[in-house]
Amino acid sequence: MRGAMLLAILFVALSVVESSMIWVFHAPWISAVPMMTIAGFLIVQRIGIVEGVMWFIALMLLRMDITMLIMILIAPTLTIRLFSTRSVYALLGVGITTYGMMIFVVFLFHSIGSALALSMVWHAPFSLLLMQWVLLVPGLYLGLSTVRWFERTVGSHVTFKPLT
Amino acid sequence: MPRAWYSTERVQETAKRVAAFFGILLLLWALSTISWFAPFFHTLQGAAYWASSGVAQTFSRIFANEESLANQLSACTTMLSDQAVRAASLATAADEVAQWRAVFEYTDREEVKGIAARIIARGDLASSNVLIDRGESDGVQIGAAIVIGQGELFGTVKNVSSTQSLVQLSEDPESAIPAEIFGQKKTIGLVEGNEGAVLTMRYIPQEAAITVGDSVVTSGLGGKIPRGLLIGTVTEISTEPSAPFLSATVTPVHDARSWTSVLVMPYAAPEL
Repeated sequence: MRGAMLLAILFVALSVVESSMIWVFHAPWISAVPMMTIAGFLIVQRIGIVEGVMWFIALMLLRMDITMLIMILIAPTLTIRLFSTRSVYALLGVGITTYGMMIFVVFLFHSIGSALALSMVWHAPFSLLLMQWVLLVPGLYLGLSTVRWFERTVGSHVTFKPLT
Repeated sequence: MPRAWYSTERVQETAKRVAAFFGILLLLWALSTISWFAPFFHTLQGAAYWASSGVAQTFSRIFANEESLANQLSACTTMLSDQAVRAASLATAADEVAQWRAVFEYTDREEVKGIAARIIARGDLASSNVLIDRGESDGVQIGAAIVIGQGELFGTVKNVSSTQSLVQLSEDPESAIPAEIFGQKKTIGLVEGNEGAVLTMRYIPQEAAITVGDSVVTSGLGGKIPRGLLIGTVTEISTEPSAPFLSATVTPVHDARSWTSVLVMPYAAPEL
C-alpha cells in the first residue's frame, strides 16, 4: 500500500513537471516528449500491471482523453503475452506497439469522422501524436536507464513493490 | 470449502493498492482546491515553470531561425493587439456599469420608474444633440427629461421616432429649463444653454440671496421636467445695478459628453 501511495505522489509530481517544464519548451521538439506515457510503460513493465493500469486510468481522467483506454487495454496484454521479459527490447516493444495502435485508432476515428476530408489527420494534434511516437523511443531508453540506476541505488531501499 | 475469489489475499491486496493510489490522488486534488493549500501547489508549479523557462528560452534561442523569430514576433504583436482591444472593451464595460449603477441608485432612492436608454450617436464637440435608442414605441415622449448619474439633468427629448429619440442637451443655446437655486432663500429662474459647456441662469430677482457654490435644480414648473434634478452649481454671479434681474453662471457637475447610459424620465403632463 505504501508503494501505491508513493506512486500517486510520483504521478502528481511528474504531471507538474510535464505541464510546467516539458510543455514550456518550443514545440514540437522537447515539448512533445510524452513523459507521463513513458512513465506508464515503465511502470507496467518494472512495477506491475495493476499499477500501470492505475497510472493510465489516472492519466485518462487527468487529460479527459478517451484514447488512453487503448493504453489500458493493450499495454498490459502485450506485457503479459508478448513482451514478458524486463529487457529494454521488451519495453520498446510494448511502448512502440501500444502507441502505434493508439495512433492507428485515432487515425481511424479521424477518417470515419471526416469521411472524405482525410487531410484533417495531418492537422496539429495528429502530427503531434506522430512526433510523440518518434520521441517515445529515446524517452523509453532514457527512462529505463534512469529506472535501472534508481533500482541499483536508492530503489534497493525504497521500492514501490517487491520485484519478484 | 474454497474461498470466494474476492476474499483471496491477492485480490484484497490489489484492492488496497488501488484504493491507496486513487485515495491519495483524490486527497491531493481536494487539497489543491482548498484555499489554504492552493498557494503551495501554485508555488510548486511556479517554481518548476521558472526553473525550466530559462532552459527553454536558451534552447529556443539556440535553435531559433529567422522564420521562427518572425513568427514569434507576429504572434506577440497579435497578442498585444488583442490585449489592447480586450482592455479597451473591459474599460468601456466598467464605465457603463458605473453609469448604470449610479442611475439605478437614483431610481431606487427616488422610487421613479424611467426608461433605460443608450446614446447611439452624437455629433461633433460643438453639437448639443444626441440620439438615444429608445423611441415612441418604448414610451418616450417629446419634452421628457433625460437623467444621468444620481439624478442630474442631461437634457430633454426634442424629437421622437418609433425606435429612437433626439435629445437636446441642457447646454444647447435653444434650451431653457425652469430652475431654482437652493441658497439662503429659494430663488427661481431660467437656465439657458450657451455655446460652451457652462449654462446661464437668468431672470433671478435682484434681491435674491445667492452665492457661488449654490446648487441649481429643476423647479418642476411647467410639469414637463420633474422637480429636483440637479443641473449644476453656481460658479459666477453677474450683477448690474440698472438691470432688473441677476444672472448666474451654472457649471454642470459632470461633463455630459462622457456619458453613454441615460434614463428617460416618465413624462409628467402639465396640469391645467
